[in-house]
Amino acid sequence: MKIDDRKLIAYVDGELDAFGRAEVEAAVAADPVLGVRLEEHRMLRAKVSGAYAAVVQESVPAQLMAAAQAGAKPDPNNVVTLADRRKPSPVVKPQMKVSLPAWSSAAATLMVGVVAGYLISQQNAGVLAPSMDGALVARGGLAKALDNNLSANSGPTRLGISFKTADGRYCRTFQADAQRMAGIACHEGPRWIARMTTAAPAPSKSFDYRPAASATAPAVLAAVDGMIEGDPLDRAGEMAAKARRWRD
Amino acid sequence: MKRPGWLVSSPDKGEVLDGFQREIIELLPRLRRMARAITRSVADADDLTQLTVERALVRADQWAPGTRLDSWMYRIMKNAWIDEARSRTRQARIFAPEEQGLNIGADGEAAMEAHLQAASVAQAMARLPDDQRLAVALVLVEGLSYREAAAVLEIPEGTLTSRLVRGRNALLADLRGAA
Repeated sequence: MKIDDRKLIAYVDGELDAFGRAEVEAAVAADPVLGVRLEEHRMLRAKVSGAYAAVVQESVPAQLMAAAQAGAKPDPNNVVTLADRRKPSPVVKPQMKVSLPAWSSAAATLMVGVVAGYLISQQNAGVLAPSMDGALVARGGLAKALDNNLSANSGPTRLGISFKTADGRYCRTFQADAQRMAGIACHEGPRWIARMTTAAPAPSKSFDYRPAASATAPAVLAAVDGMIEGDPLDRAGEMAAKARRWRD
Repeated sequence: MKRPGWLVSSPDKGEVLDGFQREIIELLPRLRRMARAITRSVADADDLTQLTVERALVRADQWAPGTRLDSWMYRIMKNAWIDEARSRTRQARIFAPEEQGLNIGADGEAAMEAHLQAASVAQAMARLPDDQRLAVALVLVEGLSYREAAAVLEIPEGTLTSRLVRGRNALLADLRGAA
């Protein structure tokens, strides 16, 4: 009985019935060369599945999460076609394309956040305070950290992601553990204005992976997705922006 | 299993996701894995996954409840990828497959070894023709049965198995050369 590759592979893939399995096993027992071949195919299956196994344990990128959470009823005018996605940069850059529903939910989050932030600020006037024009301005330790610190996962006020918005402002995500507060502040004029805030979880050791971003609350990440233009700043980008005092 | 709870639920956003979306979110890690196996870079993979999700949400009414959502989404991904491949000019460019961002928790020797092996598998996969790579990804990476994989690819089972045979023999030859 000749066992061809198709049959051998079907055996490795568990696609044969009892009769087929017995056939292969008998043939392998009688032919060492076939045994080697079988082993090769077994190893290959293990290697290939092993090569991608770790992917399912990675954190899902915030942008992808936001896409999946976007409003269930899509606007037919807002259907993203492949052509759309291909236009600006077909290959390398993941585009920060956020569909309308994602925007609107980010906006809702932002509104809730700002109100909550205002309330929080009443109790923690130390880090955020409403100014004369109603904007929530970063003060004290938070303002200092926003000005001076690079993104890091430690310290009483941690900066997570620094990025630029479409209108060219620098914004940074922050988490102030003492105040149990996280949010996004953007540099406007001489001040850092809180664009959104949310209650932060108690400081945890760490999420796995993604050192800087991982500690960022999901609501904050979702809001970043709605605001960011291009990629977040890397270390060098942060240093350069800091040197320019977060102006253009 | 290191998967922070917020990946599958999003209480902070204060919005109610319907069951369909919830299921899609649960599938995201697997969809990303499939995309990683058929594209050449992490960025391409996440682009493709996102496109798949967007298309799935738009076509939610075309999914028959009670059938397998994963197969349906793999099919959307396959079609998106084929559309992409058809119009892609990048095939002309020679890309060394980007270092896949396969996670190495600690940089021990074993992890490094695993990483190198994963990288050589990724390179060999990248050299397969699209149809063979899709077949191999569905069966070997995603663990679908022949019947399921053939349904996703919308081809007869016999065609699927010939692609599997050719793809795997090419991988074997390639990886043997690399070793």
